[in-house]
This record gives sequence, structure tokens and C-alpha cells, in this order.
Amino acid sequence: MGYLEDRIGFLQERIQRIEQNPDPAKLKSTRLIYEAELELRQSQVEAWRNGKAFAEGPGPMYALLRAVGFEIVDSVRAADRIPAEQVPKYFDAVRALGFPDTFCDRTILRLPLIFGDNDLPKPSIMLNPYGACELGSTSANVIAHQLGVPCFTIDVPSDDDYKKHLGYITRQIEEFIRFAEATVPGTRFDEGKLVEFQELESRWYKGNHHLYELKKSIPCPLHPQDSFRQHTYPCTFPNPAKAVEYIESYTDELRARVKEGYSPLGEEKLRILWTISGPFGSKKIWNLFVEKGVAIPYTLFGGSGRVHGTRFPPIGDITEFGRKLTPIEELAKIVSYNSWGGTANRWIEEALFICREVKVDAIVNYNLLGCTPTMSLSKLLAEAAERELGIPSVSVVGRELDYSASDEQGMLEQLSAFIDRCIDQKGLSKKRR
Amino acid sequence: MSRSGLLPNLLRIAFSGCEVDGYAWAYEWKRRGGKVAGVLTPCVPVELLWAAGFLPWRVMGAKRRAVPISLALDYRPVRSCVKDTEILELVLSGELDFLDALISTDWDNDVKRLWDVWTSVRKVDLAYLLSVPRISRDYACEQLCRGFAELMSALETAAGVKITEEDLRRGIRLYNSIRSSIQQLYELRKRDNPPLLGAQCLEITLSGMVMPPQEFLNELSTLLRKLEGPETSPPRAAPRLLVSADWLDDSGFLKVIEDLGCLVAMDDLDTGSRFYWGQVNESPDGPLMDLARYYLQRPQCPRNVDWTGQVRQIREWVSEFRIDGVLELVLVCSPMRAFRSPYLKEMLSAAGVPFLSIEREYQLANVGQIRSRVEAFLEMIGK
Repeated sequence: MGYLEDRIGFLQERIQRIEQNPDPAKLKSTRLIYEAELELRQSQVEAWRNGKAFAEGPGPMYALLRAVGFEIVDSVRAADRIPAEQVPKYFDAVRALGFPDTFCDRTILRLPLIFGDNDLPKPSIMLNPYGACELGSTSANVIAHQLGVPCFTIDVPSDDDYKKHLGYITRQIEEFIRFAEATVPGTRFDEGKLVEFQELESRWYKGNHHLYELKKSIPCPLHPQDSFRQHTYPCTFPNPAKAVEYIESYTDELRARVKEGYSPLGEEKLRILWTISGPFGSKKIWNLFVEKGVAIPYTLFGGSGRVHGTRFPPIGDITEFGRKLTPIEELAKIVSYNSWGGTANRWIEEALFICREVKVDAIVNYNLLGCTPTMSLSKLLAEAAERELGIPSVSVVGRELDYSASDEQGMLEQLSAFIDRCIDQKGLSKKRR
Repeated sequence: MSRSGLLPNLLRIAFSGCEVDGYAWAYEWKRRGGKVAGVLTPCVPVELLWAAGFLPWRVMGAKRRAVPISLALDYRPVRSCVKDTEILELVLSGELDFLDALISTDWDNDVKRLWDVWTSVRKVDLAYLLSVPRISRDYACEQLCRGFAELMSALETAAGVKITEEDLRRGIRLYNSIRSSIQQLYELRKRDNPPLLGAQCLEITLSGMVMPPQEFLNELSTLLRKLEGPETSPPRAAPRLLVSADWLDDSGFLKVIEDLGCLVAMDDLDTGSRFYWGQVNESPDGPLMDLARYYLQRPQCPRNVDWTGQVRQIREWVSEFRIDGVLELVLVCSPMRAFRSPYLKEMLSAAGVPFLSIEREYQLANVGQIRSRVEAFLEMIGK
């Protein structure tokens, strides 16, 4: 249980450090998410030792998987958190297994974590909604075929008119439930549990929406590094209420900052939209932004629109489809739309909407090496943003975990020059939203 | 007309080493007053396009014509599918401006983004992106049937026609005849001394993706009459390979392989067997549903999730065509096949089928490396 035990040690040490030496400049609520993560890893170890059935799938489906009776194994999230010094070892393992090493890091580094004997428990079943991130779905298919694990694929159409496919996706989720019950002994779908989980998730989505509203504030209350953080679906954790408590506390703290007009930057000189992905664990970019007074009110990625309810109402809403949805339909609703899942127009529309709402001055597109769903989107978005909003863009290239693949110093210089240019030109743009 | 002034036909392809010239057929069709629909992926229902009056024209790269990539890099990273980058370069240079329609499916993210850029930089009368399921369950067929109905409606609007059920049935019967004839051609490849090499067969199947279907069928019938008949030559004692790839539209690759003394006796290609295998079966559910079932249930590409079924199909062909080894050509920076490859290797090894996977560029390149690796493979097979 190498990965899990290492992770538990890291989290325990981190929580202890917060207890013993709290940093007043940092958000107190952060401790809650470390505690939730620690509980997750400890519960995974125990469940593994006790031979419990694990399921793999994406975050929005964890409520369903837990309601059927599975423990969660989250190999992509785990890959995100591989310590920097261990990343080369896992890349070597990817190559040794015969897989390509040039695609999105997190979707390929999950493979050695799952295939190895010591890092993560092997799933008894995979639930694989195949839509926006084909690399995530393909790597899930790899796990299923190579390990001989039953895998249920949910086909998610890439049609921009996503609403018309609600019935199609719902039907597949219902079939998955029957498939899981028939395939993995001891599992049984408990709709009451799903409803309970969804009530918690509804609070979580509302919390994220409040967070989004706070991000519109000038100055932005978020440190650039915090803005890059993706918030974890509650049912990832054995105690989903903790994730809800976290987002609500986090939002309360930011609300207090907004009330005081506080910005971690001191003076906010520029607001940017950051897109796609970024270097996990690297602090240099965020330090550059703080130094230059650059806020990142919003980080746009495939699922962020749903998470933050930018244009999409949360669970329980009746406006999006004109009626109340069943619990399974609520799941289908979440899965049916991802801004990377359709044509480029879907992405551009969402990005420009955010730019207007959050009052963005410039866009930084972090082109993730080997990310196929976001290919070409940066250029198309840059053209649209300039044309429609007079907003300049820059594209940088890098990976999430493998820093050897990109020129960090070059990227910092490129960003620095772009920021300086934008600050100089701010207020001189011909077209303002 | 083509650059040489001649329309390449199948007899010249089969017997004179001529290669298909897709542009010649597209220009000829337009000269006759027809419209040409660029088809980006193998899952586009060509029967529907034909029923609407379009010539379905598979968009391919420049083959061995040098295409310096420069404009496309504004939109695509260097490390991305080389096929789509080359096609985008042709788009941006204006070479494909003659197309009246552009029809694609979401085969993968790469081709979907190619479609995105193409439609943002070039005005096409009809640009359509069809979502095709990656599974083959019954409700997926119903889903695809709905998708075909919407595509049909868009084609009717663009072409100013009404497609009747009889128009569709006629198109299906025509393409079924083509499929049947191609399968007859493939039957000849089972011989110890097939009348055509793998490279020639590929040129023929590629021709079917750019020629008007009735003319292709007529030429195919003529060709088959010439090829069929008792074997008169002694059996070739050549290792028989099955080549598995995606987007292989340059027979030069197969020629390099066959020049080493082996025979590409069968293929697992979206430009070959997978495009033409089986038949659209007529049912009371209507022609669109019949088409949907066909496109989801014929031999599938790695983009579909049932890799077990795909391996099973390859193993059947290995047995049926008496294959000595499987050679996989993996297009650089194309993830689907690359991720499936270790599984395919494991399954074929377990079945005792020799297997080799080689990475390839889209255009014929690194010939020396291909030769060395295939030579070693042939030695290992021991024939």
C-alpha cells in the first residue's frame, strides 16, 4: 500500500503543521479538506485489507457508485497527487507497460498506480462515461481490458445540443445499476442513499456557485494558486458531509475577505482567465502572479461550468429541463454537458461568458501536452476573445506532473512579458465588454 | 481531370501499378455538375450522402507529395495527430476549397478539432459533425438512427432535395453490391498465390472511397472477371501477414513491406476491410435503423470500446486467411490504437499469433527502420 501509506503520512504531517503553526495568511478551511482526504485514504486502506469491492469512475458518478455499495478508488486524483520526486518512476512504469508517455499525465500515470500491486486497490468494476476526455475514458478502457475488470461504458454524445440526450444517458445509467448488481456480489442499489448523497451534493454545488459569485468581486479574494484548485466531489470521501462543510467554510472565509476588500495580492492590477490545466505543485507561476498583482478569478476546465453553476443550475433545479428530474436523471444531467465534450463553439461560448461575468482583462491558455480534447481550442478562443471582447490571450505549453517536458523559465518569461504588456494596455482597449 | 489527364481506373491500378487519384474523381464529378462531400471518418454513412446527390469523397493527405507544415501549426501543436495536421495544412492552403460539404463524425478529439478549425477558417455550404456511439447496444443503434435522421435532414436542405425511403434503399443496395464485390476480391486473397498484392488491394479499396459508387462497382465487376478463375501459378511460399492500422491511405507502406518477400494477405484497416465488411441487412425497422445497426456492428475501430470484440475479429481473420503474423502500424500521436496495442499484443500472443507493432508517420517515412523491423519479424516467424 505504498502510495496510500505515503499519502497518509503526508496528510498527517500537513495537518499537524497547520495545528502547530497556523499561517494567518492562509485559509483555515484548508485543514478540513486535508482531513477529508486523510479519512479517504485511511478508509481505502482498511477496505482494501478487508477485501471490499472498489469501483473506478469519474467524480460526478461517485454518489451512484457509493449508493450501489462500492468503495471508491480514484486513480486519476491519486495520479494528480504523486510527489514530484516520484513522477519519473511512474513514467518509467508507463513505458515499461508498453503505453505511450506523451499524452495527458494524469490519465496515463493512473495506469501504473492501478496495475502495480502496492499502490492502489484494483477495482471490481469500472464505470466509464465516454464523452469529453477521451484519454481518461481510453485509459479506463485499458484498465478494464488489461485487468479483466467488468467495465460499463456510458456513451455521451458530443452533440452541442446536449439536452436532447438526457433520456439516452439516463437509460444507460439505469442499465449500469443492473449490470453492477449482476456482476459484483453483495452490491445493491439504494435509491434512498443516492437521494441523501444528492442532497449533500446540492449543497456542495450551491457552495461552489457562491464561490463563483465571490470570484466576480474586485479585488478577487483568491490567491492565484487557490484559484487553480479543483474542488473534489463530496462522494469521493467516505464522509461526504466533510466536503460540504469545507466548501461552505471556504466560501465563508472568502466572503469575509470580500467584505473587507482584501486581496492576497495587495493591489490587483490585472484579472485573467486561466484555462485548461496547469503545472501541479509548481509555485513559481503563482508567485510571479502575486508579484505582478495578477488575480485569477476563474480557472476554466471541462467540468467547471457544471461545478460552479456558471450557467447551469445545481441538483434539484427544474429550469434547465423544464421539470423536476429523477435522481438518475440528475446524474445524467451532470454527465451530459462538459465544455470539452462538444464542438469548439461550446468551449468558446462558455469562456466568453465567464470573461464577461468575471470581468477578465486577459486569457492565459495552458496547453497541456498531449491533451486531445483541448487541441486547437486556445487559438480559436484567442481569436474569438480578441474579436468579440478585445481581450488579449497568450498560450503556454506544459505538462501537469512532468516538469522535465517543459521550459519553466521560458514560460515564466513569456507570462511576465504578457502580463506587463496587458497592464500597460489596460484601459486602452477599443472594445470593452 | 487528373493531373495526368487520365481518370485512373481499377484495371490500371491492378495491372499497371497506377495509384488512385482522388482529386481526379472529385474534379470529374464537379465537371459533370455534381457536388462533392468531403468525408473525414469511416463512420460517415456514405449511403445517405449518395442518396442526397453528393459524391462521398474521403479526405486523405497528400500521399508522397511533400507538404511542408507551417500554417497548421498555428492551430495544432507539433505533438498531435500527424494526419489531421497534414489535412489542415491542405485546408489552409486552399487545396480542399472545392468541397461542397464537409461531413465528419467524432471519431476522436483530434478529428473533431480538425473539423472545428476547418469550419472556422473556411466557409463550406454544409458542415456537419455527427456523434457516433462507441458502443453497439440496441439503444445505441436507436441513438445513431436518430443522428442519421438529423444528418439526412441537413443533407436535404443543403442539396435542395427530398430523400425518400426508396432513394435510401437504392443507395444501400448499391453499396451492398460494392461490399459484396470487395469481399469477393478478399476471397481471392485467401489463395496461396493471390492475383493481387496487399498494396494493390489497398489502392482498390481506397478508390471506392473517392469514385462515384456505380462506376466503382462497374469497374470492380470487370476487374473481378479478370482476376477470378483457377490458380495457374504455383503457391507463393511467402509469409502471410495481416496489417492492422488506422488512416492508412498510402499503399507505399504495404509495398515496402511486401518488397521484403512477404504477402499482406489480409488487412484490418478502416480504408480496407473494416469499411467494406458485411452487409446492411434490410429489416422492417426502416433503412436508417438498418444503416445504424450496420455501422455499429461491423468490424470496429479502436475508438470503440469493445476491444475484446475487435481482437476476436482479428483472430478470425488470422484463421480464415491463414495468417502467419500480425503487423500493426500505429500512427504517431494517435492515442486510441496506441493505448489498445499492449492488449492486442497480449491477446494475440496468448493465441500463439506472432505480433509486431511499429510506430509510423502519416506519410511514408523512416523506410529503413520499417524494413529492418519487418525483416526481423519475418525471420522470427521463420518462413
